[in-house]
Amino acid sequence: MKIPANSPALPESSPVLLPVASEQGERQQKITKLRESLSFAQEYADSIIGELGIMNEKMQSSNEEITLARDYAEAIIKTVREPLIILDGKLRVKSASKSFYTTFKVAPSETENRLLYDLGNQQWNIPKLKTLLEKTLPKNNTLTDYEVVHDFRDIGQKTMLLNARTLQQGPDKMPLILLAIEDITERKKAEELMLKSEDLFRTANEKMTTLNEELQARSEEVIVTRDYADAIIRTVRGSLLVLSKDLRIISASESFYTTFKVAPNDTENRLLYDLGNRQWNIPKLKTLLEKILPKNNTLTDYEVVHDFRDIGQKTMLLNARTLQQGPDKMPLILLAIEDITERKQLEQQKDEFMRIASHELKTPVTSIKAYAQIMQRRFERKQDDESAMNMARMNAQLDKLTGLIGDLLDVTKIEAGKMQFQIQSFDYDALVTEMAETMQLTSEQHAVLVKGRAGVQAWGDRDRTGQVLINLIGNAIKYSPHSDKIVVSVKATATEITTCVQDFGLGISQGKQDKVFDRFFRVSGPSMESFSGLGLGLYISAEIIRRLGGKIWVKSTSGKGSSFCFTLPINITLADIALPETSAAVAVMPDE
Amino acid sequence: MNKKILVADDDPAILHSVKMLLEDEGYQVTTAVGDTTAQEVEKHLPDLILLDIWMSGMDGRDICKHLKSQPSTKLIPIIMISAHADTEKIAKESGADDYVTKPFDIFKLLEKIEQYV
Repeated sequence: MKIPANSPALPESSPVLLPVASEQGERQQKITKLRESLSFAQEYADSIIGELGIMNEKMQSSNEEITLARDYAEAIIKTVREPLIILDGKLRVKSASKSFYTTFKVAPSETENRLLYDLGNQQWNIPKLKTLLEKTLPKNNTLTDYEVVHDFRDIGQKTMLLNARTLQQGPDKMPLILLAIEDITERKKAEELMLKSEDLFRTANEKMTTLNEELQARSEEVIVTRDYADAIIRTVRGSLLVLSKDLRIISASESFYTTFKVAPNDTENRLLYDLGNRQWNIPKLKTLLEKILPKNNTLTDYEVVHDFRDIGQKTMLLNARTLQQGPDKMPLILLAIEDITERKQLEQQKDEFMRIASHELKTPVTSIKAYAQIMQRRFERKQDDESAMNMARMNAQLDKLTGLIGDLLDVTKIEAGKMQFQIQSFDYDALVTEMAETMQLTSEQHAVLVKGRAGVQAWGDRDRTGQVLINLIGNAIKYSPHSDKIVVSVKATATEITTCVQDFGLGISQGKQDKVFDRFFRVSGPSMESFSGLGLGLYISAEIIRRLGGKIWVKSTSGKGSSFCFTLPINITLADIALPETSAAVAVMPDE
Repeated sequence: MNKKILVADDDPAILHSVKMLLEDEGYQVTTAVGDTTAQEVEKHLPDLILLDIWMSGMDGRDICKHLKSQPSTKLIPIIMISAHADTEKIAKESGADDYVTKPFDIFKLLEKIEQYV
């Protein structure tokens, strides 16, 4: 801040011109000239006086200006928000701003004309301030933004920002020092806080940004996922319900609405059991959803038959799964309801068809077989052995045909899980001998040899076990067209009977050995010639042995022959019969 | 006096072949088809009946139950014959004495018949 200094120049006396007298004319002339000169001088003086007046006016206005300026400066000092003190050359306080008094809690009376260092119990006797005022300031004439921290007795620690300036001549022509003391304690604190919080803020911000990005990505993901899930729910062909834990419907697939003839309005947010006149209040469903699902978290292929009021009796296949957290972080239950009524009906139709077909096929075979056997008997009585033998061969072929018809029916039964067993006690060795003799009739080339004995009564299904033996011996004959024997070996331990049927024919390559028990698998010869048969025998045999609690396997070397073996537990009860494999489910038969 | 056997089936070839078989063995054979079976039985009062389960017109099960409920016929042994997979079960339920499955082996059939006559 600059206070204008002024040293007004005082007016000085002007030079006076004096007239010179000589002759009268000359005098007159001279007088005239003098008068002229005088008048000039007068004019000059007048102009000087005029100028002096102007100057005086100017001086006056300048003085006023000075007063104004000083007042202005004082006013500034008094009103500036920051503490400002004016010191003389000896560091005595000439005046101070109002905020100096308020900030440093001192009164004008104990401040003015006192040495700065003596103020308020010498609390301004601050080494750094002293250095600044006595060393730095005289050299530089200004101090700019020096920070001084000091612990004041009354007001605690303050951080001050010092700005100072020396004036060579103050209003009193004496050198002055203007010292602005800004209390920046709060600002400092705020700044520090700000820095800290800025830091925090920046970190937080960075985190927020990252989080936000993640969140965005997630929410996009969530949206995408939810949309995806929604789309799945809406588009799946089967009926799908999304339920809350308390079995309220959150959403349902299109096909649920169409299959069960209900509207979304009557469905969403309702309790499952309350839907459509409580037609879903099905005891078995209740047990499944409330008892079994919470324990297992999944339900797989439960069949529920229910008579719906509007759509009649339906067979439903239920699959359910609990989700601990759905899109809204709430546990959910997904319930798929497949209407298998039609499929069931088709299955029943298929079963019925197979039943009729096999019956119809068996009827002519029955009479042919009867005729063949009557002829065989008549030839025997006439001792026409050759004709009798031919009739026996015909009979054996009819047995094969009967076997094939039986296979077709068995596959249908296996697929439907309806293969039944008759458990009884029977002489195992007698069965093996009987089957070997029966199969011997189908081949002149092979000798069907039985080696070893079980020596025990078996307890199982005699006919089904015989069926397995027929199958294995039949295969052995079929796949060893150039060999001359089949060996059936039997042995028993305390718990099981092991039977092997060995041939010396084509064998099965390593890669195909695990496929031979598959449905429709057929071995082809070395030159890819195929063998007759439906490819069902081993599949059915494996299923029979599995259901009877035994094992079946094959050992084979390509080109050297195969040995098919199976075990049967000696004591099997009806309760031991293995359940049909549900996973084998229901294969859909071709339309033809 | 030869034993009388009544064969009931709706397939003519089976009736013919079984009749031939049984006559070869010295039995006196009468045949019946479907819903006339019960009348034929009451008329002839055979020593044994071979009864097909699945006949058009009348179910072998019902015929069996009927015959087993009549005082005049209830003691006549009935062997059910069928291509049905559940022949054994059906035979038991209907009160038949025994069963054979189609296609049957005539030697086994003759063995069974000899058990009852």
